Amino acid sequence: MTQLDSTSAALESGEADERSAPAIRRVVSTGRLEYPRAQRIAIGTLSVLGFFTVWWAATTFTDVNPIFLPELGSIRDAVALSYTSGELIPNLQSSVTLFVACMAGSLAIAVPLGILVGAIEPINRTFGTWFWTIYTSPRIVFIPLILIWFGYTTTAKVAIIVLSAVPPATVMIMEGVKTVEGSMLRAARSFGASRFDQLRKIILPGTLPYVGTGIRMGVARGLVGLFGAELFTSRDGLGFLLVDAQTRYNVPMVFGVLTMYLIMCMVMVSASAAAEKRLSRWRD
Amino acid sequence: MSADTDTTQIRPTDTSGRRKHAASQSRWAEFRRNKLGSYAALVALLVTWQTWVTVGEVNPIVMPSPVAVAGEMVRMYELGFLVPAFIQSFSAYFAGIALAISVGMAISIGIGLSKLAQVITQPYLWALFAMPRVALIPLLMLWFGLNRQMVVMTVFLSAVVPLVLQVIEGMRTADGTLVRMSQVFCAGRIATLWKVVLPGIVPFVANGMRQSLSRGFIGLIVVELLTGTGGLGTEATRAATNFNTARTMAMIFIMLIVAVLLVILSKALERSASRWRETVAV
Amino acid sequence: MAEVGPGTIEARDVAIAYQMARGQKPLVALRGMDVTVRDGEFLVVVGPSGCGKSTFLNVVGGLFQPSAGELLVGGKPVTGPGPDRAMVFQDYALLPWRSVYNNVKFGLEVQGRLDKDSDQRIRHFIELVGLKGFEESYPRELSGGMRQRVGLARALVTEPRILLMDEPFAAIDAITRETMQDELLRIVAETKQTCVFITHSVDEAIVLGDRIVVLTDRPGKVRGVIEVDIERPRTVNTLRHHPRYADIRDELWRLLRKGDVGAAPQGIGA
Repeated sequence: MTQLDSTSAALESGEADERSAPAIRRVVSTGRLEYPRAQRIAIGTLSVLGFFTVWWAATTFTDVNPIFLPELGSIRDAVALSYTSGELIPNLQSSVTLFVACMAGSLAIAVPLGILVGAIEPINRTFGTWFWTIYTSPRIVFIPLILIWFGYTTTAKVAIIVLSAVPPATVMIMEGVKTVEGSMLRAARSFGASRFDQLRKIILPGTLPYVGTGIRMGVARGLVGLFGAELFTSRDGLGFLLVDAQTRYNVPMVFGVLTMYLIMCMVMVSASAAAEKRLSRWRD
Repeated sequence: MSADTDTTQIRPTDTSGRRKHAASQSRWAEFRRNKLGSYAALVALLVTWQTWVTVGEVNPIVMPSPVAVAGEMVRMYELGFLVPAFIQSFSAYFAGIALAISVGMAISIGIGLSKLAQVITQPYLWALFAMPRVALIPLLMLWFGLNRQMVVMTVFLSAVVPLVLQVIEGMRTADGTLVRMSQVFCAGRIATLWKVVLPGIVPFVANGMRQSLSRGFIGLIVVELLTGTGGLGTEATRAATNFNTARTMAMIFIMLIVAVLLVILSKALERSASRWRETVAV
Repeated sequence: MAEVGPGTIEARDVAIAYQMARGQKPLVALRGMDVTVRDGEFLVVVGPSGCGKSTFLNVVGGLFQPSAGELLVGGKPVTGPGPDRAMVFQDYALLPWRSVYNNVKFGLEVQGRLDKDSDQRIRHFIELVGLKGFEESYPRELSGGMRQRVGLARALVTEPRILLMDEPFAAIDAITRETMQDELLRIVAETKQTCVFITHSVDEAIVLGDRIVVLTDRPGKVRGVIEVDIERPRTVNTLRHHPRYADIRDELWRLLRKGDVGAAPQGIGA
């Protein structure tokens, strides 16, 4: 029964080879198949196009209440009007600038704080739990107090965003520092590394992926803070445009502002996810 | 983390010495090692705060003392608006959560069953994930008006997204080997779904529900703070607009306590649902 | 060929081409696989990684239909999984939320075969694999070896004619593995099932098999068959000193190494 395969060279490539019999009748699939990336993008795009087509058809051919579903054209017109009247760009800029600046500030607080609390055992034991508690609690409840302290000002907005973004980032980094293995530190000490060297060469690189996670979590929560802050103070920014449109029952503009919010969120979230990925390159 | 996993279940096969050691330790030693510092820090904060306000004669509008805040809590209870506010908040909260769980489970299991449905819905789920749902409040105000129905919808929208995302993730990562095993043993599609796939996603459901409870609460608070439609948040805003800082802080404190209780409740829920999962320590 | 019994497996020119993702080029895992497993025989299949050993087992299990050729079990073409076949998996495939007892029950349960005797049957097989006293334990509380005993009991309790085992002991430590091999031999000597056993380990193959089939690199087909003419009952320890042992081992290695000339087979460990 021993059979030696003389034509193995052709077959061992592992791919379908139509020259040798018997013919392949059917291809078996292992479970439910994933779609390849290109198809996923194509189907997703089609899905979104279909969504807007249905929207367009619903507003054109049925008399659906325009408060629930404004015509797509009216949304475009509303955004265009706010652009030509010079309202759109400064407010958009204000939101983006505020958010980016606050995120930079939040990280400047969260990174050293997280490393400090995570790396020094007594501090961790005393304050670690509280950082977790603050992280899990809805910081949004502090808005009324912040408004008493700072009024309806930019300072209040900054406070709300920073309060939203700092705890998640800090907690992630704090936990990250704790995962740096003691064996690595002992190894470093055995080579005579100073405390500063240990921090710089082992703790910091080991924590970097968690800094990435911290950035992502901070951005996600920071966005909640941004919207909360802008809805409450509504002095400028996209929040102002949103509340303004809402109070004037300008539904198309509400949709328009929400679309801009959405785009802003997607950009920020993607950017932070990319940052996380880059910072955790050395992990698998 | 391993300290708070189920220490009640010690079985004859469990040879993990660490657990037994932890169990045999006296509670006080455990407390002193892990918790004492934290509580000391809290007490120190309160004492410093009280001393600062009393000695420094700080304007109570800027910063009332902890004692004043505690007194305000008692006063609010006596004035009798605290309990109705509670009831108002929580009826809307639980209605929203119940809606989120029932609708969310149905949607996500449906989507999870089909790869095509997953690909089709991906852009929307991603958009809802990326954008904080609180931004939708103005739109909900236009749609439903300033009433509790709108509050319920805000809670629903805030809560449903994390649940749906988690459950779909659970369905997506349903263990291929287990499904194969089920098929080899001649289980039908329904039996495989019911006995293999759905029990497998229970930890994901529990995790999603935990997130739902906390996101739903954030939605509730924001909408109540913002719109004056009643409930705890509205009382906080009312106190703030009257520059009654002590009452504002008392309300904030109450909301934080409620949030912490919700977290504890949902963690317990999640833990009991994922008991069979392997713990990292073993 | 010998007479066909209910546990006979005949693979005639079986080919399997499968897809892992949509739009991907099909991968041919098996091609021209020709082998007959006699009723009640213990057949071991060895071959390089990725040569389609597991795929072959899945075909017998009824998970895949052959892309070409024919696969007969008990003389009839396989159209799907059936209660006459049961499988033991490399990564155990236990339901982590079920106790040992309920895991073992699974097959009977989904096949609608629960009756008043099943409780006794389930307990009997749990005892047979040496897990008496662990009925109410959960998989996470068991060691790898114990988990695989559960997997074995789950397969045995359905009383299949054919037992399919996909590297069942690969993830188990060496000492436990030898005990498990002895116990498996003891059990199938009693139940007289047809066994198809896949392994990477040359020693395991000789201990267990009546015959050993060596597959080529992918797409896999039979390179050679070795009769293990060592009398039973065997145990791991006595076998090592058997005069035929070294010869069979050499022969097996020779067959496995033939692939070296073209493509190096990976991961063949003893």
